[in-house]
Amino acid sequence: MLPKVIRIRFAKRGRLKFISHLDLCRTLQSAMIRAGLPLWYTEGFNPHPRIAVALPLPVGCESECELLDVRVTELPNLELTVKKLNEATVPELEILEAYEPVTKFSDIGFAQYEITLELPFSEDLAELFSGPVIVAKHTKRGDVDTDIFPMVKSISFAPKGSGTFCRALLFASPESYLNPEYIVRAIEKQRGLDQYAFEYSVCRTGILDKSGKNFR
Amino acid sequence: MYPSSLLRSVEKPGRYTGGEYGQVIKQKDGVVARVAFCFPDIYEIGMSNLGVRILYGLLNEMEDVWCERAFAPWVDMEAEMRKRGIRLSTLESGDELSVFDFVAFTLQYELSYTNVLNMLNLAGLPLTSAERGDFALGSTPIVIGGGPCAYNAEPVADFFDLLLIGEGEEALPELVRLYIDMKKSGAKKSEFLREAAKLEGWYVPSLYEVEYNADGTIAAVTPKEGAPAKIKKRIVTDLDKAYFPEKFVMPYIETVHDRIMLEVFRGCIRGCRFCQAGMIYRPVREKSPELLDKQARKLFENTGYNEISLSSLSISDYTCLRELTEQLLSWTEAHKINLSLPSLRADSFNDELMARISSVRSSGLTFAPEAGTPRLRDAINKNITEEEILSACRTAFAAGKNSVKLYFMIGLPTETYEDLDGIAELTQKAVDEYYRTPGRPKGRDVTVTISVASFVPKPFTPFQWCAQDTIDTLREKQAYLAEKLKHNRKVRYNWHEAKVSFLEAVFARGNRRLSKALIEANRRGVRFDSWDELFDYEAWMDIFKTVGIDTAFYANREIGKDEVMPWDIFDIGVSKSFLRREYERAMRSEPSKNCREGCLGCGANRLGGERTCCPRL
Repeated sequence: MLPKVIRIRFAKRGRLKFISHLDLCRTLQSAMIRAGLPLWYTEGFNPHPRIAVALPLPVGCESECELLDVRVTELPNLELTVKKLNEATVPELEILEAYEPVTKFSDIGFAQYEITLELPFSEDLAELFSGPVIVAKHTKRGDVDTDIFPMVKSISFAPKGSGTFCRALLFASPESYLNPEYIVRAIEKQRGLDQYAFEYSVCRTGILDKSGKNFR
Repeated sequence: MYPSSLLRSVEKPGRYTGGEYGQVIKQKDGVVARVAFCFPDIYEIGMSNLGVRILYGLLNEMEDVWCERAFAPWVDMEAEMRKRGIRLSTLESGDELSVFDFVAFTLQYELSYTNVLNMLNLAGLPLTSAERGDFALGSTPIVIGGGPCAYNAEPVADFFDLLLIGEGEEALPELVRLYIDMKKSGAKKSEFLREAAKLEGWYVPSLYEVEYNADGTIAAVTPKEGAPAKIKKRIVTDLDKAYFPEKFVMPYIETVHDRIMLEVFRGCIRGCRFCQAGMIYRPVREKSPELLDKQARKLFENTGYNEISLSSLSISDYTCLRELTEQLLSWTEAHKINLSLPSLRADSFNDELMARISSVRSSGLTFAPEAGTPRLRDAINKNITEEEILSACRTAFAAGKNSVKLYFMIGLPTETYEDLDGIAELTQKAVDEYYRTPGRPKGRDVTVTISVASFVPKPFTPFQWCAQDTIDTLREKQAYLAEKLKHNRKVRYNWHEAKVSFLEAVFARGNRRLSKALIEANRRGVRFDSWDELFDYEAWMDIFKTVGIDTAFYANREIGKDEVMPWDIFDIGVSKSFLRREYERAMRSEPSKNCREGCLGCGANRLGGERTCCPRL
């Protein structure tokens, strides 16, 4: 019997931001078992469910729009699935929607982020992103100075209380993906501050396809 | 909750976030007693402990009690906390330990003692019971402890207000109930401790005066203020009626034992003479398979774990193992749940058992001959033959395994170099067995891993009187074995660092005089001694020198037959005369029967117990 796929949209909030992608997958898997989802298991020596998350979220980042595909042996009642999953997990990991997907994760092009910085707003922030922005990017070969500007689709800054609010649309396809943390690194560098010198929060608020439309 | 900027800067922040599915949150003003349950090691280790899960669930069943968790922060987190002046708090409420009614430590191994002190220090609490002073209940935490090391917690006695000797399922709620009553009536710590000392199993170290002889041995231990002369171990007589959690806190990060742990029975029928667990958990008490199956189903529904581990000492001694595995396998396979049976004895390992556990994933198989010759195995009462060990290997190989792991111990009382030769020979025989086994994995070579620990004499064992080999002797023995095995590429040889086993021995048979070494260690920032990368032998030697402790007195000395031992004030059921009889048989290399073959009169049946193999009194 061919497995069916259901797509689950969920939020990852608060302290859950510190849970890594792999740990989140294990957490979701046990939650799906607790919720009694008819999970499809791989054949073979070590059967396991097939779960795929659209854009693994960096540690430290919250999200209102995570997407996960899971294979099931039969299609369950989707509304009931959302309810049961929410009973089987913590409020900070909220299941928002379950549906049969018509798109592929490879169609994703961009991700939208909201970044709140406990740093006074100043005009030069916008100037920072008007040309090449060099930050030390972690790679397998160590930290490499990289220009992140080509991976920023759009970015804006505004004062918010005593701090600064930033909205950024970043490339998020397998060919070109920018971790939103690098926006913060660039700002730290501009201000001459140490890493983790001030509080900030990053939240992914939207996933868009390659034409810039909301991805479902 | 710790600030985000702090958590962003440490490795594995999931250790410190809390907020897991299954954690218990209560209203602070709705409870009378708040307990901070502390495991003196990192989250991944502490969350793997079944006792923590049992007692957490149990205390939170009490309406007016809220039990929360705290673990030792790893060194990166500790450094940040100290830099920012942040104190140790619990995962649930994020409140500092100092606001709790109880700070409760579980003492699982001696090398975690420095972590206990470090956690108290990180909580801003004075280290000793005396320094914390007398106070109205509720204004400062009562510091309590329990677990296997409590059976001789004399080295940490000064730091604790109360220690539990034995099992906590009944004793802990009793203590908390007493506390709640006395807190409501405005009692002070000193009054509470005097009352608590009357509860069975609870030891109040400050109510005992220890006097020493000129040679450093104990002259007398005198109880004060009506405290009992002997503290009797507390047990749960009927495990079927004991509390067992129906749900677990589900860790986000991977822990050491991240699975359903089903406790099948307590105690052990075997009586290996080096083994403390085999004595202190007596009498053997089994749970019924029907109840275990019910509890496993409930835990699966509530956790979603895909592995169930049957937990006990020597699982194959469970009289209903076949019934239990049949009941479990009837439903676990459909849910792709693995069944794992740790602690298998080689003499029980046969094709039938293999079929049961190979139907599901299982990691490598481990057997514990402990000693290399039949003579020494008799002396330690391991009661296992070479043929049984090789037959167990054969079964594993025939079922498709191309590796086994064998546990040995060196430095055992009565050991000679012949016994070390025996380890090398037995290992080689296990390798040969592979190539003689029809149906072994085709075209693959075998790996026999031998893991060699050093003997540590422990209180309440027949070997409690024995000296530990010196570090130099242990190292010579390790090197001797390495030389014997070095050309064998099919053997992987691991050994434990002798210096670590030595420190363990010092504290295992220690007395109250060691507390000043622990205080000095804490002052110097020593902790995580059970972690190879942080264990600092030179620092310890310097500490002992500074405070004037002769370590050989504790680790490398044969204790006299009539000497008062620091742990003589505890009555664990098993009698000292039985332990001495077993010691004398060991010196003659004579094995003893196991509890099912015939009762040796150890005395544990005085404590009672249901579904046990002991003769009724």
